[in-house]
Amino acid sequence: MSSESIQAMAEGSNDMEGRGTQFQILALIQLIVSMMGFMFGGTVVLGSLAVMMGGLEAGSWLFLTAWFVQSIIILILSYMLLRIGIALLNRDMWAFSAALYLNLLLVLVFLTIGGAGTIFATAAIVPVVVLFLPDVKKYWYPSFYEDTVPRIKELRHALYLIRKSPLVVAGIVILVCFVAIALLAPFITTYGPEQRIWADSNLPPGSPSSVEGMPDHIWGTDDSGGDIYSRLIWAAQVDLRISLSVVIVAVMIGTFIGAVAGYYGGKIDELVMRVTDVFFAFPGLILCMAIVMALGEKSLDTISIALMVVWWPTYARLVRGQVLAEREKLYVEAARSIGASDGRILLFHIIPNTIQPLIVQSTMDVGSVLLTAAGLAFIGFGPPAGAAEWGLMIAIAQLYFSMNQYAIFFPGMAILLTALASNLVGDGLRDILDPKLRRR
Amino acid sequence: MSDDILVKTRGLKKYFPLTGGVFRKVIGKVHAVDGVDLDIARGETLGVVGESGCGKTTLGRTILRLLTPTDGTIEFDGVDITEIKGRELRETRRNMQIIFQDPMASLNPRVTVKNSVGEPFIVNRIARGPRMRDLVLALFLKVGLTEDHLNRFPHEFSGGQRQRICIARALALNPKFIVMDEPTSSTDVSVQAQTLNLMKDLQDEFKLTYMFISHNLSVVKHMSDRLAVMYLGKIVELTPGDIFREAQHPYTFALVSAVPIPDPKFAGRAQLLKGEVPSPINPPRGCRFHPRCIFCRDICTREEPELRDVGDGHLVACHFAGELDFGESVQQEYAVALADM
Amino acid sequence: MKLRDFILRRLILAIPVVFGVMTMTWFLSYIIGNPVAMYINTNTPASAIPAIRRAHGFDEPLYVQYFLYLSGLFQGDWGISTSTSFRPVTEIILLKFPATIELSMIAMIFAIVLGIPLGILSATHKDQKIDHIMRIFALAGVSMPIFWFALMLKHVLYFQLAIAGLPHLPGGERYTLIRYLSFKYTTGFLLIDSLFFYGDFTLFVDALLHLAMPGFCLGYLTIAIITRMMRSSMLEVLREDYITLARSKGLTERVVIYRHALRNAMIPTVTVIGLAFGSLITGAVLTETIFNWPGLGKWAVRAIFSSDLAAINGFTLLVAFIFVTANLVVDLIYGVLDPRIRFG
Repeated sequence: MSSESIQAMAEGSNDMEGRGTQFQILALIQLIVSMMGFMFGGTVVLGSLAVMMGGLEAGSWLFLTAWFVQSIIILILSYMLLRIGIALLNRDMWAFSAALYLNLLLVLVFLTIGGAGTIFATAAIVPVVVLFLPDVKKYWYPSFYEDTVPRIKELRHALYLIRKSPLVVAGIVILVCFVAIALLAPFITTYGPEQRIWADSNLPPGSPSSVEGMPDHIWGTDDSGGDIYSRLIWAAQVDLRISLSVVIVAVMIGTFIGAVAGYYGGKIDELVMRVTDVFFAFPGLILCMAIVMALGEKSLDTISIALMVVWWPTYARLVRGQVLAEREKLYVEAARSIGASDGRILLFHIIPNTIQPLIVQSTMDVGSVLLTAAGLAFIGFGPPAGAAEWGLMIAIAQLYFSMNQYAIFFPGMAILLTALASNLVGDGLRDILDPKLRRR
Repeated sequence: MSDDILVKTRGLKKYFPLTGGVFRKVIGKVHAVDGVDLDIARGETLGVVGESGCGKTTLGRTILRLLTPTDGTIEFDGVDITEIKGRELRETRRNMQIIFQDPMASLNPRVTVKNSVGEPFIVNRIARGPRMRDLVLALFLKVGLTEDHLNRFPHEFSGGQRQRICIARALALNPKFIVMDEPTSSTDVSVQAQTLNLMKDLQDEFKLTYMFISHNLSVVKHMSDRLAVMYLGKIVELTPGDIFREAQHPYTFALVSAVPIPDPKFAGRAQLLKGEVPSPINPPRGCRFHPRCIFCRDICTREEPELRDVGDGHLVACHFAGELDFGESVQQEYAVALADM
Repeated sequence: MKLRDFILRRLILAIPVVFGVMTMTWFLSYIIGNPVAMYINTNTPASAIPAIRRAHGFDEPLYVQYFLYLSGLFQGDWGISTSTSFRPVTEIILLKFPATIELSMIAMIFAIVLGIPLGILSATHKDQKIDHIMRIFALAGVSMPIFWFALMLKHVLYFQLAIAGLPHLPGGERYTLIRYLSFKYTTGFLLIDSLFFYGDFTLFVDALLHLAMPGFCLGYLTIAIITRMMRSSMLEVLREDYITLARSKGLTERVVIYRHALRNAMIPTVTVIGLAFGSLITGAVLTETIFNWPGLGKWAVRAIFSSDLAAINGFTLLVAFIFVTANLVVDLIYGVLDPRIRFG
């Protein structure tokens, strides 16, 4: 940063002494936004609690818990924004960049709710816009810019390394394509996920439908006349959602438990390690089988729960090992010697430095989870026959093996490609993030 | 007089448990620091020398309470800090800082140096945002870094610069006492001198008290007002004078004579140590140095010598302090030769 | 640490794991699941259930049940497999176990025989075309849905060839059933039985042919794992100073790699071979279903369809015990091979 911008900063602060109305308005808007967040979050939390108390229809619990979690996140964000609003009133410098990030995050969360969320999201954008008004901007932007530039530089370097390795790029492209296809399913499919035309069963790719006015079967049909192409795409939604949600939940649980065990050590550590030992004594698929069997319900939800239960110890182990290694590093001791608290050291120093192997492992596990989930569905733990899921599609098609190989080939290719892509990305990232290879 | 003492330890001990066997039971203890009495006066630099593994680093960290002492007391600025915990300990730590041997490892690789150096301000709620930036910049200018360096990552600096960054961080909270744990051993000689002089300047400017730990005798001598020699977790000699001329403990003399002198006259003379350093798990009975001492007598194997004053605050832990003859002329010659270097 | 201490310590550490495994299966089948299901099926009249509950102690407090469960396990009472004509689980396991072990062993042999040389080849030709091919081959192995791979292999090597009237690999079972109708197992391992007890070499060859496709299919994942491990550990070793020294002494590259590097590079690979046991048994569940292989995996999958809790529970326990044992053995071998590991 040049000395001019410092000058500008100094001027800005002088300015502020004179006329602070913009900042008061900004703080006011911020407080209003946080109040709206409280309102929305509180209503939804109470509402969903009330509905849960009143008893549920089967199947709606997943929907409700999603709302519940979202509104809890909104409540937390609103509380943080309330604090920021107060800090803005006092014209605390740190509050400006924090306000920027948190408001944008809030907008994102509101948008995932859809419908009503959009209105609230627009409200949360207002303080962001105010932040960028020239009079306000010149006060905080220079120092924010200065803080962000080195991070962008690092990011750009990482991107450069990624671009240099074609396999990682290929993996990323495949994954992005699959996610895009899954999201765009309603627009690019020609048939519904469980729609079938019995007269069309076991057709080869490219056959026209026997029913007047129905689209062609691009990749043929399965034994019961389901369109393979469309079902494959619908199934992508299901499979990707399972593997992503399992990995995310397992990473969160595993990181928390592993970090605590590694940092505090002693009895907690010993206990966690023995428990993970037991989990590691079972091969993943077999333990999943036992869990689903015990839960007694064969569905994708139970498969997901079983996979989460099976997968968290991997991350607990990984994070614990990393934390143990980082805990001994001198910079942690240096942080301790300036009086930083345990929580701060764990959050700001240790966890950010353990995140790289975690990213690599979880990327690769997206593939492994998918393989295991598909395997479970294949041996009969999945949803009832007819649902669009890759493993299940192969399981059903297998019965008509001699008549129709396309119904097996395409779903299998989809599984293979997704798993391959996640392995490619994970493998490549490991090489890129390897500290030994990193520039010094 | 006691007002002048900043750090005071009495019978300070730090043992590390050693586990082994089928059940990982404690089968022994490493006596890293084994009963150290030390007074460090305000504004002075106390040098600590010794072979690697003699416990000098452990001593430094224990005094700062980065390690919990096994036994003994530590007093800092007249307050007993042996038992304090949590908030109180964090408050105390503002007044004492440490500079580590490896500056690269002591900086978080994912944080810009501005934020590393500014962390003390944030942690202790002194400043954040641009205020913190200004404070960090002031520190940077003080240690000879510039504004351009603020927003870089540790891996973008040279070894000497990194060490300066660590010094800046140690100075951030305006401490009274700084432990320097071999601060120059990872940089090359030309940078060493710069760093050492910088630290001396800073000492004058901020009225700092240093504890300077090193295995390099000449560096320690250059830096310190008083010098402590450690052997197997104990201080064997502590002298305010010129260690090259006045060494009284046989171990100190052995150390001094082991300093290489590029002069054929001294070839083959540095043969005063026999054997290896004994294991700190089972230190020898009696005087710890006796298995390696060329002057060893009967009493040395039985009784452990106390540190006693042989005049002018010169403390020696040897039964025969002052009686041993290393050869006056030899000592003189060494001193002269070293001074010429 | 002394070698004896190390072995003792590892053995003692395995005990809580074994108990943990048993506790876990107890928790799953008694707390989360319904233990009565282990002894009934859809034909059991509802009036008989209370009697069954009482007979197996499901009315007792939990800790008594836990104790009963453990003592039952030790006495060989692993429940009754309702899907296999109500025979005890242990009996069926003993009956089906050899088939699975035989298949896994063949797969393991495939993996070792192919994986190690491929890994070495890949490492010595680092960043050349052959290395890239090997890496993609290995990566595909790790990402392959094994059930799909089995079906595709079967389609090409059995189905298509058979249609074309060409010689082809058998598509399932352990031997050609029609030709050896009267065959009776002695040890349960067909390769051994056919040669030593039945004395029929053609049956031996027939059995080998039947093993080839499922064996390779099951082994592919392990081949991939071993190739990758071998490659990376070989590369690591080749960077060491003593390899440079060996080269500078003027030894040929062959001698350097096979005499000096291989032995040290093998050490991490041995661990992976042990861990691969888990993936082999997992894979067996899927492979056996497709190749109609009368082993444990196929039995377990059939048990799933008829909600046979005892069978799944028993299968899970067995697999976990095998896995724990394999890991223990590998750990011990590792400790013997690499003394550094003992000081962990």
